[in-house]
Amino acid sequence: MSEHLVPQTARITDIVKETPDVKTYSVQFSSGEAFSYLPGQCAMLSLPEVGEAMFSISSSPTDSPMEFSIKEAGSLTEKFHRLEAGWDVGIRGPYGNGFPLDMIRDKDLLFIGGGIGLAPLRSLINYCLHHREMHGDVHIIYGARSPQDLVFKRDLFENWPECERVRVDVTVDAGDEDWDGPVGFVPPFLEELDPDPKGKVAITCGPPIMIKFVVQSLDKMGYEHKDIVTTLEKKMKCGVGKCGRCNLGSKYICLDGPVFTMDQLDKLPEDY
Amino acid sequence: MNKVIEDLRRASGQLLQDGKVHQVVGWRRGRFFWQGSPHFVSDAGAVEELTYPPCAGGNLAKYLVDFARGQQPDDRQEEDSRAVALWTRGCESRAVNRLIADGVVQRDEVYLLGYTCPGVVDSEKLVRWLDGDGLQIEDVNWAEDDERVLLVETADGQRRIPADEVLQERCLRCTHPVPVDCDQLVDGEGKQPAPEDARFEEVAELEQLQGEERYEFWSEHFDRCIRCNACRNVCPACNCVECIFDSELPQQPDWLGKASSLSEKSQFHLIRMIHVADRCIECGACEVVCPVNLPVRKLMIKATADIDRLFGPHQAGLQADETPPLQTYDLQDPDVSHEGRGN
Amino acid sequence: MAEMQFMTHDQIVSLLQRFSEEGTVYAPTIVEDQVDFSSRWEAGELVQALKRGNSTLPPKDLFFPQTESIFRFKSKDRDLQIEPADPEEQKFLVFGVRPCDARSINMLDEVFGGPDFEETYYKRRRDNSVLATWTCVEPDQTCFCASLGCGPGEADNADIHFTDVGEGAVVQPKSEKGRQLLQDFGSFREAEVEEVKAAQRVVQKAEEQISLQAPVEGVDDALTDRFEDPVWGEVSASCIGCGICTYLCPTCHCYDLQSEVWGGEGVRYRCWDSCMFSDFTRMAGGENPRPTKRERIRNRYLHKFSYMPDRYGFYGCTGCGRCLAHCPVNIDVIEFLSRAKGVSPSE
Repeated sequence: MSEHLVPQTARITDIVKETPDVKTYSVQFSSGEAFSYLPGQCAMLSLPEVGEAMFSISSSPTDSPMEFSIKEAGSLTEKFHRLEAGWDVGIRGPYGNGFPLDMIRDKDLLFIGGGIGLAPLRSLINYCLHHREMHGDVHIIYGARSPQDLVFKRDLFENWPECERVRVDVTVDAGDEDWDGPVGFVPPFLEELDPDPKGKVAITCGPPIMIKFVVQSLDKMGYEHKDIVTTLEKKMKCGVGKCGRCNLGSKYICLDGPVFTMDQLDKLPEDY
Repeated sequence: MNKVIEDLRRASGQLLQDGKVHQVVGWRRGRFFWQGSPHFVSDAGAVEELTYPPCAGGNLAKYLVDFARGQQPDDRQEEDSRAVALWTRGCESRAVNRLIADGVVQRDEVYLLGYTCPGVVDSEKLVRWLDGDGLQIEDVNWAEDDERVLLVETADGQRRIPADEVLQERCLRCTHPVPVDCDQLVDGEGKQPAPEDARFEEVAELEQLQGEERYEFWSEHFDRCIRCNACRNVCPACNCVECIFDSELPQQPDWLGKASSLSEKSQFHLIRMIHVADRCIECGACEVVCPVNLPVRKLMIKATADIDRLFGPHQAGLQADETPPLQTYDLQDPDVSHEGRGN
Repeated sequence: MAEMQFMTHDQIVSLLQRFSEEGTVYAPTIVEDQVDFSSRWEAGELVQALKRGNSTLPPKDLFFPQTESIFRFKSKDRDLQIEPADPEEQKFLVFGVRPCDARSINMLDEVFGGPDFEETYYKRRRDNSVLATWTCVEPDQTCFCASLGCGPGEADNADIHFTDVGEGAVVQPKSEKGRQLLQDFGSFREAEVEEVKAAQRVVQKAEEQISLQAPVEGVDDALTDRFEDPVWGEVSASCIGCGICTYLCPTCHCYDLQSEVWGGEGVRYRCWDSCMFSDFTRMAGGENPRPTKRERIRNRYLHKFSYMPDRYGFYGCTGCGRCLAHCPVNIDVIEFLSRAKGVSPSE
C-alpha cells in the first residue's frame, strides 16, 4: 500500500556551498532506487524532528545523483545548512507537473532566472542540453543580488557557455571590486539584451517581484503569454492536493503546478 | 433599551456626518433571535442598521486590535487618521483601557460611544424559561415601556420576561455595566452592577475540591476542546503580535503542536490562563464563543481570584495607565508574608 | 431479504451492543448538553439523544481524525529510521448519522480518494466502517440541506438507513455492508405497509419543517471573476479568525503535518488545520499570500462554492447549518450567497 505521506530515507552524499546562504545537496536513496522525475518537479525533504518542506529538484533527471539547492530561510533550512555529508534526510515525491517538455520541443529557449530561482531552471537547462538535438538555441539570463549570491557558478561560467548554441548573460544588482560584468536588475537587463520572441519560449523563475517585472518586460518585447512559462512557490504541506494551502483558484500548485504558462495564470486568481 | 438604541444611532450618525470618525462599530440583529452580530457602518445613512440585540455576544473592543494592525477591511485613504467609534459597554471600556495599557491602541484612535449595559440575554435560559409551557420562541425584543423587560414572541402570543431573569452568568456578576471611560454617555437605566464580592462566587465550589478531583474536572473539560482558538481570538487580553500558539514563526520552534491530545489541549488553556490572568477584564467572551461549552470563564475567574488574593485587590481595565500585578514586584504583596490562599 | 425491515428501539440497541463485541459503535451521546458521536453512548439515553438536533461536531473525525500518526522516526547520529504508523484495523459502526453528514462523507471520499493520490489512512477507515444513517426527524432552525440537494430522509451513500416511527424504526439496508450488518447482528422483521407509510410521513413532515433556503443555484457562475470584490471586505469585517466554521464543517478537510519529538525520536502526525487561522499559509520567510481575514474568508467561501464545484463537480456544503449556528459573530453563509448572487437576503 502506498503511504504517500511517509518519506523514504536518503543519504546526503555531497554538499556544495553555492553562496553564503545557498547549499546544494546530493542525495542517494537508502533503498538504492531513486524515484524517477521530470525537470521542474519537486520533492518534500524532511528532517522529521524539525519539519518538512517542498523543494524543486535542481538536477536533471538525465544526471545522477539527485540534487537540491536550498536557501536558508526558516528553521528547517537552517537545520539543513548545519548538516554534513553522510547524514540522512527524509524524501518523498516527485510532486507537481514539471516543465511542458512537448511545448518547448524544437523551440529556441530563453531562460530568465533570479537568485535561487535558477534551481528548477537548471534541471531543465541540463535536460535540454542533454537532449541537445530536440531544442533550438538556448539563451540563459541570470541575476543575483551580488556576485557572491550567484548560484551554480560552474554551470554559469564554465559548463553552459562551452555548449553549442548556448549563450549565458549574468548580471548582479550590485557589483564588488572583483566584478567586471553587467550590473543592474534582471528585467532592464533582459530588455537591453532584447532577445527576439520569434520561435522562442521564455521560462522564468525567481522572486515573485522579479517574475512580475520580467513578464512586463517580455510583454513589451512582444512575447505572448502562451509562450511564457514560470514556476510558482507557495506554502505546501501534503504535496498531494489535499491539505488546502497552495491553491490558486481550483488549481493546486503541488498537483497542477508548480509550472504554469502565463496564459494559464491569467485565468487564475492572483492568490500568491 | 429602545430609546438608548435610538440615541446611540443618532450619535453614531452625527459622528459620521461630522466626519469625526471613519466607522462606527456596533451591533445588528442576526438571522435568529439568539444571535447578535458585530456590525460596521461607515455611512451616516446606514446607522439604522445598528441596534443592540438582546443576545449581543463577544466584545467589540477586540476589533480595535485588527484596526490597529491593518487586519480590518477598511476603505480609508492612507492619510485618513480619523478615529473609529465603538459602541461601548462596561466590558468594552475596560477592554479599551487594557489595549491602551498594552500599547496596542492609542486613546485618540477610538471614540467611545458609551451606554449602560442592560446585560446580554442567555438564549438557552430564555428557551428554558418558556419550555415548561412548550412554547417556541419566534423573536425577542426589548420592551418599549420598560428598559429591563424583554418581549418574547411565541406562537401563543407575546410574553414579557424581566431581562435579569435570563441574563448570561457573566453579566449577572458584572461589576461595571457603566463604561469606566467614554467620550459620550447615552442616558439609560441599564443593569445594576453586581456587588464586588460576587465576582468569585462561582469558583468557591471548585476551590473546595481536592487536587486530584480538580485535575479530573479540568481534564474532562479540556479533553473536549477542539482547538478552534475562538476563546483566544475573542479575548481582548490576547493581543500579542505573534501568539505563542501560532506556528511557523520564522526561526522559532513550534511551542505547542496542533495535536488534539489532552496534554496539548491542557497546555493551551493553562498557558493562556497564566498569560492573561492579571489582564483579564472578566468579560466572559471566551466562554460565550466556545462551541463545545467549556467553562473557560471559570478558569479565568479562578486565576483572577488567586491574583486578587496574592497581590491585593485588583480589577483589570479600570484605568488605562494601570500596571497589572504580574508585571510588578512589590514587597508588600500578600504572598510574601505567606498569607495568600492561592493554591 | 426484502428491503424494508422493522426494528424496535430495543432491537436497535441490542444490534449496537452485539456489534460492540466485535468492533466499536459510535452513536449520538449527550455530553454537556450537546450531542456528540461517542463510543461511550448510553443504551438508555440513545433514543433521547437521537431526538435532539444534529451533533455539534460532525462525525468526520471518525474517518479523518483531528490527530493521527503517520509515521515514527528515530534519528541516531547520522542515521534516520522511518517506520509507517500501524494501520488502524478496528471495525466500527457509526450509528445515527444525519443524511447531510452522510453526504459530506461522500464528498470527503472524493477529496481523499482518487484520482490523484488516494489517502490510504482515510480509505482504510472507510473500508472498516459501516455508516448507519437516521432520518432527521426534527431538523434545526439552521438546517438548509434541501437547497443543497440533500434532505432529512435521503442518504444515498449510507450502508443502512433508519427512520424512527415511534415504537421503532423502519430499516432500509442500502449496501452489502448494511445487509450483512442486519444479518449478523440484528433481529428484525419485515416492515408492514403501514409502517413504511408512516416512515414516509415522518420524512415528509421533516422536509416541511426545513424552511430555510440558500440561494446556491448557479452561485459558482456568479462567483466567477469576483476575486476582487467589495463583498469580501463586507463579509469578513466581523470575523475573529477562529476555526469554528472549519472545524464544525463536515466537508472542510484542510490539514497540517507536525512532529512530536522526544530526544532523537518522535512521531509525525497529521492534524486538522483551518484556512481561517492567520498562520495557515504563512511561509518560512514570513510572507503570507493571505495576510488578512478578507483573503482568508474569500478563500474559504470560494473553495466551497467555486473551487470545489470546478474540481469535483459539487458544492462543498451540505446545508447542515453548523457554521450558521455556531459562528461566534454570526457570519451567515446564506447572507453571503445572497450577496454573491446579487439578491436581497429576503428574496
